[in-house]
Amino acid sequence: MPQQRASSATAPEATNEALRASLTEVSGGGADLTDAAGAAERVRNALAQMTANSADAATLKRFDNKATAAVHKATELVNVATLNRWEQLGQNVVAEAKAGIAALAKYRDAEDLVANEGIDATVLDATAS
Amino acid sequence: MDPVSLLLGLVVIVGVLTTASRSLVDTSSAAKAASAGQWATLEKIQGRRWGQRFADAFEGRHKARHKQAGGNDGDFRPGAKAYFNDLYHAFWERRLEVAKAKRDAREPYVYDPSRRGRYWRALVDKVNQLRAKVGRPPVDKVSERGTEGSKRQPVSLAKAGSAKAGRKGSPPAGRTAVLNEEKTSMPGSSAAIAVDTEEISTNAAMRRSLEAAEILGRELLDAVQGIEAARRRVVAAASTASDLINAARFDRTAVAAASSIADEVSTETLAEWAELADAVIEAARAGYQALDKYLDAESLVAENAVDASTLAASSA
Repeated sequence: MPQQRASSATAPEATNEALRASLTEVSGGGADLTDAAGAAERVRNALAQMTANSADAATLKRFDNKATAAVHKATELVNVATLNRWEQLGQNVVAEAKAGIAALAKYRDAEDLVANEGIDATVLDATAS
Repeated sequence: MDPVSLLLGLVVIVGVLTTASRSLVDTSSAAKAASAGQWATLEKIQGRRWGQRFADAFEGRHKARHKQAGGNDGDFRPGAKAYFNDLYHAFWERRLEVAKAKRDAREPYVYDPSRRGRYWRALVDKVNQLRAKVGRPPVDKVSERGTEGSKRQPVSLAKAGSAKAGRKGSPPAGRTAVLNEEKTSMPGSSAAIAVDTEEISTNAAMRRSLEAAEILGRELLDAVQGIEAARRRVVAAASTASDLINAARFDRTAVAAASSIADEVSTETLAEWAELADAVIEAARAGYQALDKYLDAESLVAENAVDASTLAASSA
């Protein structure tokens, strides 16, 4: 998965289309955030299982003190928290961006008409809620 | 020239040319899609290649299972007795998995040796007894028929690298091969994680586990960096959206969405998680380095058939 799909636009004109593009970019970033957080959480979970297994072994048998301490430290570290919150955050971002895009969709035809017919763009203001 | 040879030669040449041209087209399409930002197209192209790799891996694993089941190229069926033994074995493996899953579900996990109850100990003993008797985990073929083990399949620790290079094929007797296969793809990380929780009864096994923990720690670090990259992408896009909504009057719902997103993703970073992953890597490395001093002694014990308990005095 590409980490950076596109850079955000610099000083775009304040139109519905520009805002829609920004929200689409936000939505893509949110989807990446969800995927990456889900993947990271799976890695964390796998790591937690592995270190817990080592901790079990260190309980049942006497290993080197430093190795045992390292195992317990790693076990504690990976069980401090989960990354589920970041996954949820990514989902929220996608949902909100989509809501924003959907809210802009109703102006699409009017915007096209303005562009095609050479109408003054300020007429759109009246339709904005 | 013999027409048959000519025809065969032509077939081979056409095959090579077709494959080469297809590969060129794929590469060219991928490059074009990447430069144009057509990620859906790129993912389709990559997906096709990954699909092929997956199919190859599946075929290899299928053969390994048959070999594990004691079959040969002609007849892979292990027989009714093995089947029922595996059902029984898989049942206890599953019990152990469930117990481990319950243990892992307790959050936050606090290491406490006194928490291991009699049930847990009995379960571990039972599964170890079965593993020692059979010398291998339940045959996957049985699991595929809908037995207790169908949800989880024993897997090898692919990530342990050279430490487990000698463990291809049938696993050694007494090996714990339980739990969890999870595949994940993420930015900057390898595509798959295969974890098994081997029973750790020797320094060598503990070293392998710690080496694998270090690898997983690096995977975690990569994944966290992927999250941070995605967060920055969202922040940049949300910032652009915020500039726009400050410059003109837009639909209220869209304005609220843009404002809310900017607030949500700007409050914190993944720096703590990156530090945590670094700490895990360091701890794992310190652990297996501490075991290195026993390496020669362990080898000597194995080579000269010395009593392994002699190692106990040197540990700690």
